Amino acid sequence: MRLAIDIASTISAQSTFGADQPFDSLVPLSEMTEEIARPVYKEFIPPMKLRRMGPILKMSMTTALDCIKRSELEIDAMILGTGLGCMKDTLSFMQQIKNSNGGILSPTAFIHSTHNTVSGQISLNLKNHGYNITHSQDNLSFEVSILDCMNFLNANSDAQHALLGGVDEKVPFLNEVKSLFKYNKYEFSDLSSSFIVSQAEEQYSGVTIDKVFFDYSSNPIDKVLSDAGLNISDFDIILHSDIESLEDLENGNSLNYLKYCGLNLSSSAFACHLAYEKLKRREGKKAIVINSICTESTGITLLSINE
Amino acid sequence: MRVFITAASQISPIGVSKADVISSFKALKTGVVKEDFGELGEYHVGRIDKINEELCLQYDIPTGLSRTTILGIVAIKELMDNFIDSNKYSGLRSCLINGTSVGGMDYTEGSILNYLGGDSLNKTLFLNHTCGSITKELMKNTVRVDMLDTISTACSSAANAIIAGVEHIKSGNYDLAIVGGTDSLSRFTIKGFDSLGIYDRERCRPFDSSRNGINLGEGAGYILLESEESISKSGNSPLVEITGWGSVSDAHHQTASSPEGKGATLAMTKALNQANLDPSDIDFINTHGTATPNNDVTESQALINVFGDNVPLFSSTKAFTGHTLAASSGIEVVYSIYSMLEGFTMPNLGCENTIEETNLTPVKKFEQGVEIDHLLSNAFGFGGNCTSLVFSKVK
Repeated sequence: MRLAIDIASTISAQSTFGADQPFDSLVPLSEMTEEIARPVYKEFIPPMKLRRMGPILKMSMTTALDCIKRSELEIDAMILGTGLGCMKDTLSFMQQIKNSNGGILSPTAFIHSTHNTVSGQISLNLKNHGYNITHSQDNLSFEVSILDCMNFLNANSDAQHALLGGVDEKVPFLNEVKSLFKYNKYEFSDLSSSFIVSQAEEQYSGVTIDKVFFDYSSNPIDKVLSDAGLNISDFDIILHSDIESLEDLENGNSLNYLKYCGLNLSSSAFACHLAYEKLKRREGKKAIVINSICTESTGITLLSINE
Repeated sequence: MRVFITAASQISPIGVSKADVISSFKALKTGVVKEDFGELGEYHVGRIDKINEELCLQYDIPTGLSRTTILGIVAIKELMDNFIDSNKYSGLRSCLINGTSVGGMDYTEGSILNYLGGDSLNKTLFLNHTCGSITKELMKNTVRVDMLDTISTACSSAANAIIAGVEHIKSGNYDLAIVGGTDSLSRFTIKGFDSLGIYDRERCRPFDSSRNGINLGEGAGYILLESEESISKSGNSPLVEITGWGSVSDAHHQTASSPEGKGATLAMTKALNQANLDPSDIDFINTHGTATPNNDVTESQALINVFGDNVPLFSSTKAFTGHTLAASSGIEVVYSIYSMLEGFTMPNLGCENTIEETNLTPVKKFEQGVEIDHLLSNAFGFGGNCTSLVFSKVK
């Protein structure tokens, strides 16, 4: 069962949002002299609502609405992945607990702290009663969401389109725990990627997400790939999370996406959007996204363009 | 393809074994106690009466883990019978789908609160914090599976984990799935629900006209799902079959259900349609029944929408355990399976007078010799997520 990607939208540390060619002017984060301007959120969200939203909600609502606005498609399900959930609101409520000395607290931050606030709020905004799920499996949150999405569309023949997404926000607190992350040479970043997907028919001629593999060992990547029955030379677009042995491959189209995306548990969603754009432009036929940013937690996603 | 439940285990404030649970229901003995949380005040909570060290000793669990993880490990070890004869699962593709709302917050909040007050942070604790890390630890300390997933949709997390497991098996991705949820008590959730004005300072009273909110609880509950092919290889016997499920969005409000119980009605209707059952086929309903003013009346309205004048026997078990958040549907599904197999009604404590608007009376007594062929179980979460599951006796 393959997912056809109908449309995608990403807010990231790069100028990916609202651009015709979102990944055309990628600049390594280490070379960026200033932060990219945030999107004009009020073009998507009414100011009253916007005021009460933290970054994770603003970003994910915007990329979701951007996909829906541009495609004019109706959504039958929303399936979202987030590694850390609503950190800002969680910490904000904890600050209140700290300051309070046992009194009654303001509930707003608590209400917004649950992981599924994002998908819940989007469904509220669209008055959408479809299947609405949030997955939170560290760096593999987007990958498990892909699988759930495949299952949903496969099982529900009357469902046509699903909104699939990955979102994680950066908060200053994360710098305190940076040393726990394998790739802590990269700075934490904000990221939201939304896709509208549908079930790809046999003769579909567009970009599809084809398969997802998982590995929880600490084996080197060549063993992980061979255990999954995969051969890196079969892929002409290789997007990886700073895996040294994949840096200098002979076919040349290998890219370390962390360099551009920064450290973010939903970074594989960024990489999948990047793969989608490259495949659309025929830069290759088969893409592989290898996400290993947490220890003993590797996700491999295969995408392709079908003629 | 049919999907069966071949094992069910839980740890909750009314015990671990089926005998413990039946004994508590029979004696109408609640696991909710009044506890002093120091500066935070006193709250009624559903407590498991063993501290972490005792549980770690009893179940051979390493120390230094979040209680959310420990409870989950206990329930899964009970489920998989300590992996005696684990060869019976070799060659079968498996997944573990876990529901949790705040992950290792019990473990990390002390340090984070101190850090917010100006102290330095104990970083390594954070390894136990995320929802995903809890599930990873569950696998590390129980059984190796081929895929891990954590679902976090607040109070309906375990039900959604169950549904996700069913769909994975039906799609042919996996042969068996360990599915359910775990949550422990934390200052964060206690103060959170208190700030919303829905934490009752007395014992909670589901479906009672004077109900005034939840009591929180802790626990973990998991079931083992298997396809027919898996059963033929593992040699396990089916306990019950999962025949219907529905997961939808109420899309009304972040924390309150629509007055007409739209999401709940939709979820139950979907589950019944999936099961190919009429409302009149349902013998018992394990309601979400949190005892909040909003939930119990909107859920009652949804029951009336679906079942009309013939609402089946129903109850909420939350006055026995407190609201165990993400674990609730996992734990209560296990209770429900016991009730189907042993033929008893799960009682609803604390209901003296019915809700005026809907006038539905829950089952208040423990009765045996009851035929429950089809049971429906509800779970609704913040964010408007509404789930409903139907279980049927294997015929």
